[in-house]
Amino acid sequence: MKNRLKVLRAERDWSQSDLAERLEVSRQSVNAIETGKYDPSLPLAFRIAALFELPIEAIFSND
Amino acid sequence: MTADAPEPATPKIGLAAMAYVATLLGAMAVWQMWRPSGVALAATIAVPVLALGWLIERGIARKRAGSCTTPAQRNYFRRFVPLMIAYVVILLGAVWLKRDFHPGPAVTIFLALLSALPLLGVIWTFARVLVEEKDEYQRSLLVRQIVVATGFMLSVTSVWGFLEDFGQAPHLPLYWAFIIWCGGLGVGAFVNELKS
Repeated sequence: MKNRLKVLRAERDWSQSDLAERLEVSRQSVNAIETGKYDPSLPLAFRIAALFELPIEAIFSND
Repeated sequence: MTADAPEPATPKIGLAAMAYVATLLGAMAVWQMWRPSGVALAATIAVPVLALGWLIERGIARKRAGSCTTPAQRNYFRRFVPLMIAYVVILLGAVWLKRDFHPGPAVTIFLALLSALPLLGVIWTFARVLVEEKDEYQRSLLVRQIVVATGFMLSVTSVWGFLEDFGQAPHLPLYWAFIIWCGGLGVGAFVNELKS
């Protein structure tokens, strides 16, 4: 699964640690999701979507 | 730190953990098969001790980096360390009591169960960290580490069991399953780092 997390984060000038803190997860989690090594659960995907005020499909895509 | 600034890398520990497991198992095999003495014995002790030193150094580096421990992992270490100290103290005491005082069967059974108790506690700490870990990615790493350790332990004990049955290996007490599983956690840490 691909995602736009890095772009969205860069638009807000947040570091991985900043995003991790906002999502209440570890920085390693943010890094693993950004690099496509880990697909977040639905609850975490919803939290990410809520944080960026976007629908889930605007952040994650299945290709 | 801004979005473009490089993030600090988490110090790797998997290779050191693997090296410790491999050198310790290798040394134990050498002790068992060739019963070395003198310089050869010192060398077989020195190699796993050096690997352990490397593992401890990596562990300290990770702790200093401070980025890879979650509250659940800190709770785990807070439980694990006293349990292992209790294990060593109880085991040494039980061996001493059995050897020097030759207690009856009931007391001997009690001493044996008492020696196993801290290890049951360690297994409980693993269950707790899985329950308490709120970070789903960290939990997935832990689950993979435990699955790899279980596979490692089952593989080693299966192979050893047949070697033993065919008269090619000495008898291995059953409590070694837990020790081999702990070694498997090192292999699991290495696998996690390969995949992340």
